Amino acid sequence: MSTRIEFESTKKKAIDTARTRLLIGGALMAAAFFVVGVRLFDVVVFNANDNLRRAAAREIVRPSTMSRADIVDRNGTLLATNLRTASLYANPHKISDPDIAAARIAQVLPDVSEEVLAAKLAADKSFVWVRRNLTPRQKFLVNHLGIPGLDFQDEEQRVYPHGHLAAHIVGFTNVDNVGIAGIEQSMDAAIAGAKEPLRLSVDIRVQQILRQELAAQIEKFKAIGGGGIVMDVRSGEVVAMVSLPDFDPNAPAQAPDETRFNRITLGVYELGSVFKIFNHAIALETGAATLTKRYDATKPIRISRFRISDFHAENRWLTVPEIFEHSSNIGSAKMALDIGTEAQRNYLGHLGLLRRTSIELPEQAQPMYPAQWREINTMTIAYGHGIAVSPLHLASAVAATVNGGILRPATLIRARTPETGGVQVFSAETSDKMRRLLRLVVEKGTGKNAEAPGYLVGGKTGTAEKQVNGSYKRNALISSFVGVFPANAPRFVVYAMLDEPKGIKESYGYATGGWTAAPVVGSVITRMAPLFAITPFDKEAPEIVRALTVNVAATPAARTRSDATN
Amino acid sequence: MISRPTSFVLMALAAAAGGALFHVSFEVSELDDRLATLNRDIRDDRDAIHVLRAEWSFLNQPERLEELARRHLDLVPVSGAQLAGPGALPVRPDVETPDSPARNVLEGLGTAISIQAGAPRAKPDAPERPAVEVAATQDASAGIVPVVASAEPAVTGGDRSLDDVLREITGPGAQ
Repeated sequence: MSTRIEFESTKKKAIDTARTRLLIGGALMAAAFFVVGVRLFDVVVFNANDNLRRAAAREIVRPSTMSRADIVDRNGTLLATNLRTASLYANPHKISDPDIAAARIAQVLPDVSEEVLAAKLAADKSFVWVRRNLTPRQKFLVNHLGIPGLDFQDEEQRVYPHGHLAAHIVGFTNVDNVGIAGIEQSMDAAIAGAKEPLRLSVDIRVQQILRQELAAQIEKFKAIGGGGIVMDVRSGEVVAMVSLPDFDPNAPAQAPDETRFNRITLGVYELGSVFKIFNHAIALETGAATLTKRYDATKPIRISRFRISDFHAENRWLTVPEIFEHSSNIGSAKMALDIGTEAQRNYLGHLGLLRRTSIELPEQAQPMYPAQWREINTMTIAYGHGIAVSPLHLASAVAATVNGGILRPATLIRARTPETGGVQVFSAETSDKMRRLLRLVVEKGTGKNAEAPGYLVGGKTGTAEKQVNGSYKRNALISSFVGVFPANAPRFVVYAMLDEPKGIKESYGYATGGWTAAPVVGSVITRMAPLFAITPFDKEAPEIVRALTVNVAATPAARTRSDATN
Repeated sequence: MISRPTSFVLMALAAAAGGALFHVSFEVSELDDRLATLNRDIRDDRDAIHVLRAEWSFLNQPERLEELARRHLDLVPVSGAQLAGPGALPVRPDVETPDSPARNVLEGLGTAISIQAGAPRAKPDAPERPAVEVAATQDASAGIVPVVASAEPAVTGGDRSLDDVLREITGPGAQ
């Protein structure tokens, strides 16, 4: 009996032990599951938002990975873009027969030399470039050859679909896609890595019109080059800018150096009589002269070793509008003396003609003007000699003269808030008088060839002799014309310039601005006006006549007074 | 102790949870694969669009369009004499019903002309505009009524359809 009891107690003890161990094991398992449960709850319930956020932050659709943004014109036409290209390389170790491989590759890539390639493929290397930047079709053809050991590397290439057309504006990049000229350089930081295209103020259609007309005239007058600019007078936006000869930005390295020179922004020239616009405007603004005042232009002025004479000499007393109409140097010089050196320099400074422009191009020039502004300088600057500015300077200042007198900085970027700000240089009244004078030149004066029927062109011719080694060359001219239209309420300044045009039979041997550059401005205006929805005007309409007639009917008193001053 | 039916239910639940987990996990990896494929396709399409846009711009070089227009169209650039505002139109005799299409067009133009002429011609988002000058004639929003030039008679190809012209332009002989 006792043994049985003993046995039972032993058995019970073992069961107890087992139960305790099981309990401990079970508790451990329960604890582990509890931890898992808590964590699960934590993840699913407490961190739910966090997870959603993390899921949303994950890039599901990868963004475009082009390293440079596009450049487009004001209407969105593509001017510069990046294309993904494939560059072909080879592992010569894997190429079994270099000669056959080279021959077959040269068949689909004709610009690859078979001999050079065969030598490359036979070299003891594991990497050689065969050709960079293949077109998609070339890539397909190479793949089709099925030669083992060839492979492609993805690269990006900057492409300029319009080639020459906007070369000086857009500029170009180097092989590493860094801008090294034009907008590409000056706006490099804004273009690299950006997603939105950069919108320029340029209109590629006007660009084409200007380039075509200029090129035709350069050809006709055997000029060594030329340039032109179209600027919106209200916003300072450059709508077109051409410098010829030009280059292809897709292959800038192959272009001769002189083609990369931007005559409009980088070239500074003594622009001649077009400066009379500013001389007249300053005289009218300061009250140094009125429209009825008369000056003696009967004989040339002699001052120290200089002699100022007229090209279109009238040899009589001229009123202020007549001085402008006949482009009299003598009259202008005398007006400048009335203005005074100080006022002339101040106003030219206000017009931005003595400092760099703010255009977004790295190719810019500092104007050249006398360090010591003497009386003789004042007189020559009156008709555009002794001061050299870029054509862009001139266009900008002319825009300010005719738009109501407000100078707005020239820009190549499509402005978001145009037509605001700016500096008032001339009064609205002076600006109005200048518009009438400019119209007079085209209607009756030296600029008749710039007339575009219906568009009320106003403008001024300019013919300047080029300085070579300190003396003027009689037969090397910078002939230019600056036009504004419509003259009653100007929208655009159109400037054209020819470098060293030669007189031809058709122009009676003349190579002056009125014969060479004025027709360019006239045709450009005729062709571009419809693009900007500028309705033609009837020049006989009473309100047009009223807006554009120069009021020279002087009162007797005024006449006596002006006579007395001379 | 846990009753037998309860353990069956729990086991069934565990099995279902496991099954669901595997299913979701496989589905996710499948979706990931699809995403990668789609991303690759998107990239390829984007590149292709890029190339096509560049080509479109290249083909729209104004000089080339001018040449094509000269060869294939009986259109010439608009001259100033062809443009007139609605005010210049003669008063028409009132023969049509008040809501005739012509009248509606004229009224539309009346409002269009009041928009300042300096308003940008192209919609800012329009990615490409054929840069041909003759396009200006179709742009009624610019507030201009193109008056058809009667001085320029249609000389050739009066029986050509648009398709014929397009075929000629895009055909191999055109380039």
